[in-house]
Parts: sequence; structure tokens; C-alpha cells
Amino acid sequence: MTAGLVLEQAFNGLQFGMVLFLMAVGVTLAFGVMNLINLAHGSMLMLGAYFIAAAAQKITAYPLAFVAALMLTAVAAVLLEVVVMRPLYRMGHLDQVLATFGVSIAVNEAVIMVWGREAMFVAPPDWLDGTVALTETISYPLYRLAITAVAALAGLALWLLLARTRLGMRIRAGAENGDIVGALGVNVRLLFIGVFVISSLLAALGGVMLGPLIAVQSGMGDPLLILALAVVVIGGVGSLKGALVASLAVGLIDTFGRMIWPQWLGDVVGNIVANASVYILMALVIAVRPSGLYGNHAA
Amino acid sequence: MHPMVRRSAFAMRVATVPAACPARSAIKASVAAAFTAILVVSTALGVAGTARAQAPASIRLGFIAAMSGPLSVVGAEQKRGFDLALDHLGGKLGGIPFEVIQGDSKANPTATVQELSRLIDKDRVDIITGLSTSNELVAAIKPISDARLFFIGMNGGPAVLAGEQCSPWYFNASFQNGQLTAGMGAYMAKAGVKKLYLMGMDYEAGHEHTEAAKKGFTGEVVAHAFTPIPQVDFAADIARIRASGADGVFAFYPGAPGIAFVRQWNQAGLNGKIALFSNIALSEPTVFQAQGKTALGIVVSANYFAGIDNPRNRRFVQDFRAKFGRDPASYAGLAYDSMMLIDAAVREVKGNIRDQTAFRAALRHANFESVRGPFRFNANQQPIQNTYVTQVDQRPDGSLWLRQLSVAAENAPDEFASRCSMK
Repeated sequence: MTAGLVLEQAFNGLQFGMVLFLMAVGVTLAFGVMNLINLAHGSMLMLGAYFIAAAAQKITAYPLAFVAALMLTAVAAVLLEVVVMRPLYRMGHLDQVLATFGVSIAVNEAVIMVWGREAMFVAPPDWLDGTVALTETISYPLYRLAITAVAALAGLALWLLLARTRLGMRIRAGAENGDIVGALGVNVRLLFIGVFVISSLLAALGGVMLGPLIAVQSGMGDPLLILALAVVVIGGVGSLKGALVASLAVGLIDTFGRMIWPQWLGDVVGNIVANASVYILMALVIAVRPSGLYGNHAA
Repeated sequence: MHPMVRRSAFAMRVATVPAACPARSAIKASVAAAFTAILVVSTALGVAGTARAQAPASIRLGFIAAMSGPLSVVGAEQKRGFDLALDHLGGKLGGIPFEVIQGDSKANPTATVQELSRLIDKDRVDIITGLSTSNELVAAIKPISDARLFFIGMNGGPAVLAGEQCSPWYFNASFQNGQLTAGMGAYMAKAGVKKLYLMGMDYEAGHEHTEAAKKGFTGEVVAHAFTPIPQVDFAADIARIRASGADGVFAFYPGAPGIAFVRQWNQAGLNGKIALFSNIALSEPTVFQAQGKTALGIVVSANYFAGIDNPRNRRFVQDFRAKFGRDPASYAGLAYDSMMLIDAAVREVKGNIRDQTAFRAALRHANFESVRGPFRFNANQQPIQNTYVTQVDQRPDGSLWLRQLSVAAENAPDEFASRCSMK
């Protein structure tokens, strides 16, 4: 491997990791604050992608379409929270899994009814549709760099929100003990809506940005949700720091694994190990630390 | 899955065990016995039914395809070809009125078998056609053969069903998987590829198609990589391709991953630098809209594409465009062909499909005009047909189409026929 290639793969791993982080942080927030296992989280990513596809057909200015897509997702998230999620907070995890899985199937079918089965086209904005020279021989898509940057900014904004604002303080308190926070006069209902919308927006942001890279079609968020769940388990359920560390670790291990294992072990075994590397990591982490790297909820 | 999820599911299971009291299990047993009795009786009736040899007043045709789930794009396109065939046949199959009973295979072997038993036992269909994926086929052929019904496959053909496990009840009117790519190895070598990078989705068809592409290739194969089915980000693989020094890539990615792969390939600036080959699964009319201009120049092999020039296909494509506003994908063309095959065979036996020996012989004759050009059945009831090489091109109005470059294999059988015991 040349230095240029290592650099390119590092960028790839970082970008993949940051997109996973956008997904995983929502899963872990919902669990940490509302004690909710949300298998419909992939639907929010999908809605973000569909909304940008639809908005881009009506609005030519990309930043406006971007904002419109996120606002539409926020509206959908509020509806979903009020109608479906709220009664689930007090139910068992199995009920939550069944109900939210049902929601994901319903949303998958709903987008087919509105937009059809076939994948939609989303173009990246013209001013991001180029490449940057990393080395003399390797150029890197500008759009992928933009994804990494936006995801990092979103992560930073979330950290500022949680660590530096009153809302963030309440969310953190809610994660510790929701009942006491309620007893102290905080409107827990509103707080939970806020957390659900923030989680959904982060996933939708991932969808909006992935739209031009992957196929915008029904069920597109589900494979990423599986990986995000693995990330959350590795990082520790409910831990934001864990979600960040595990996302980056998974992104980099997966990306470099695809290069290294086939070289060391040959095509056949190398492929198998590369494809399983995320889950091997997850098994190892669970074996050593059953509650994940930064988990404090005894699992 | 989440550890909490698994734990709660386990707790649930433990909790339900004591509830299964003895009385309940007795009821269960008697229900099971009754069920078995019904099955036995209905099977016996079925056998009696097939013994009667006269033309039925109406034919019950079972049409099963992946109408929901991740591959519903395939099933929906098959349905379009099927519907157009119904239009062209004017409501009659070989001159006999017929009725369609639909099933949804969901690209899932379990769902396939359940839907088939409904079609066979409850709806009592006479003929079954359809199916969308190789894994469905592998699960479906045994129950269909056991029920002694003819099945005409509309899409895909795993190697084992063409070879060791061939069945006299199974006619594959689409392609044996290897046939989609037959001759591509030699074509790529001739096109000047010296170092070939093979990659595909990590499942049965991914292995079969990339293996078929390797045949006849005379240069060096620098890698043979497989990516997990859910993977949609190919940045790491694309970097690996560039680093390998390959001057040609054969990539098997149907559906959503194919869209993602083609777009990312384009964004990485590899269009025109490294030649990209595949078969029709990667780039065809159902994904053209989503791939847009990023697909231009890709070379794909196919046993059917809209541009094949014969009178039957011209009519099919023209009517398909009028109805659906774009070119038909191969799924539609092959579904249309399957219906025309059944129509011809029913006509040949004058509607007397209960004479199964005669009906099988008629199906084997395949006395119909295929939209794909030459078509006949081999001894293993898989097609002998052409494989065409096409390239994604653009019309003046900006829409994409497949332009024929050459014929990669002519009147070619699949390579597993010799392993089939049928003669």
C-alpha cells in the first residue's frame, strides 16, 4: 500500500464512520433518554433522502432544498412521536421492537405508494460535483469530503447542545432519571419530542447526504440501521462518546479490512474475514466488556 | 440485533412455555391430524384430476413473483410484461379462457413455499409461472414437482437446477445464470483488458455470474472480491480497484447496490479510465432513471434487451413504451416470452393440458416466436439462446438505452446440461 492509498482509505473510513455516527447517535439517544429501542430509525434516513429528492425537483437552490428536506423530516418525526412512540416508552423492549419494526414496514410501503418502487435520482449540487487531488495520482470526490465535514459539524453542534445549553442539561438529566426530572417541573413530554426530533434529524441528515451516493428507494435505511445497532452495542448503549468512538472504529476497520485481509489471507478467506470484521469486533467487545466500550447501563 | 432485544425475546419465550397446558396440546394434535387428513384427501383428488384427459373449460394459471420486499422492483417489472402478454393474448391462453391467481414470493424462499402451497392446494391452479430470484427457485422446484404441476420460470436459473436437480416439471424460459454472462470473458480479452478485477454481491448469483465472466478470459485476474449484500458504500472497494492496476472491472450488482456502485464509480472519476463490464443486472431500464448519465458507457451482456430487432419484439417494445413510458427491462421481456410459450403449448395440445405427456412435449417444442430471437429448450429444459453484448448509450432526448455491440455467444446451451439425467 502506498501512502496515497492509505490516505484515501483513511478519508473513506472516516466518511463511512461519520455517516454511521449520525445514525447511531439517534439510536443511542432514544435509548438513553426514553428507554426506547427504535427499529424505525432507518425510516428517518430514508425519509430524508426521499424528501431531498422530491424537494430538489421543485427547488433549484440546493441549500433551500436541503433545509426543506430536514424540515419535512422534523414534521414527520413529531407526528410519529405523538402517534406511535409515546405509548411505547413505558412498554417492554419486545413491544417496542415489534411496534417500531411495524412502523418501518409501514413507512417503506408508504414511500412506494407516493414515489413508486423504482429508485429515485438525486444529483449532488454542481459545486460539490468534482474531485480534489490528494496526491499526484489519486483524486478524491469533493462530495465525500463535504459529507465528512457536515457530519462532523452536526456532531459538534450536538455536543454543544448537550453540554452547553439548558435543553441539553435536561436531556442529560432525563437520561439519568426521567421521573425525577418530571417531578422537578420539566415538561417531559416536550423534552421527549425534542429528543426524538433531534435523533430523527441526524438520521435524515445522513439520508439527505447519502442520496446522491446510494439508491434512494424503499428500505434503503435498513442495512445502515443494522450497522448502527452494531455500533451502539460496541460503543455502549446510551453512550454518545461510545457512539462516536465505535462509529469511527467500525468505519476504519471495515474500510482498511477490505484492503488488508484479502492481501494477507487470499481472496476467499480474506473476503470472509473482511465482510465479518465489524461483527467480529462486536463479539470481541461484548466478550470483554458486555456493556460496550463506554456503557454504564448494566446489560 | 441488540442484546436487550434478544434478552426480552428470550424472556418472552420462557414465559409462554407454562401456558401450553396438556388440553391445549391435545387440541393442537387433533388439529394437526385433521390438517393431514385434508392434505391427503386433496392430494388424492388432485391425482384423480390429472388422470382425466380432456380439455378444461378454463385454465387456472398461477402467477407468482416478488411483489413486495427488497426485490419488488423485479416482480413489478415482470408483472408489466405479464400484463402486456395478457393484452396481446386477448384473454385466452392457446384459445382457452383462463383465470390468473397471483402469489407474492417476496424474494424469500419461505414465503415462496407458503404461497406455492396456497396456489397448489387451495386455489388448485393448473399451471404455475413466474418467480424472481435464484433462492426462490431452489426452494420452489421440489414442491411444484411433487404436486406434478408444470412450472415455467420467468427469471434466473441456478446451476443445480440445470444440472443434478433438473426436473421434468420445470421449464426455465429465462436463462441459466451463467448464460447471462456467457462469452464475456473472451469479449473482455478481445476488448483489450489485460488485468481484470472481478467483484460481486456475496450470494449464490454473485458467485455464479462472476465465475461465468472469468471463463474464456485470457489475461490476469487480479482480484475476485465479494461484498456483503447490504453494503451500499463502495468507496473502499473502488480505492482497492484503482490500487490493483486493473484495466477492466466486471461487477455483478443488481438493484439498489448497482445504482450505488455506478454512481460512486462515476464520482470517483473512473468513467473512461477503467473499463466497466457487467451483465444486464447492473444497468437496465428499471435503474436508468436513478443512475442517469453516470451509467453511460458501461458494457453489459444480456439474453434480452429492448433493442433486439425482430417483429415480435418491435411490437412488444412499442406497446410497452406506450403503456409505461420507457423501454422494458429484461424481466418484462422474459415474462412476456414465458406467457407466449405457455400459449403456444396449450394451443398445440388443443387445450388438453391434462394429458401431461403431450403437454410436456408441447412445452419442449417451444413453438413460439421469442422476443429475444432464437430460442429452444435443451434436454434439461433450460434455454439454448444468444448472449448479446450491449453498451449504455444516450438518445438525443437524454434518455438511456442499450446499444448492441456484438453477440458474445450464439445458440449456446448452459454448461450444466450434461449433469442432468433427462434426455
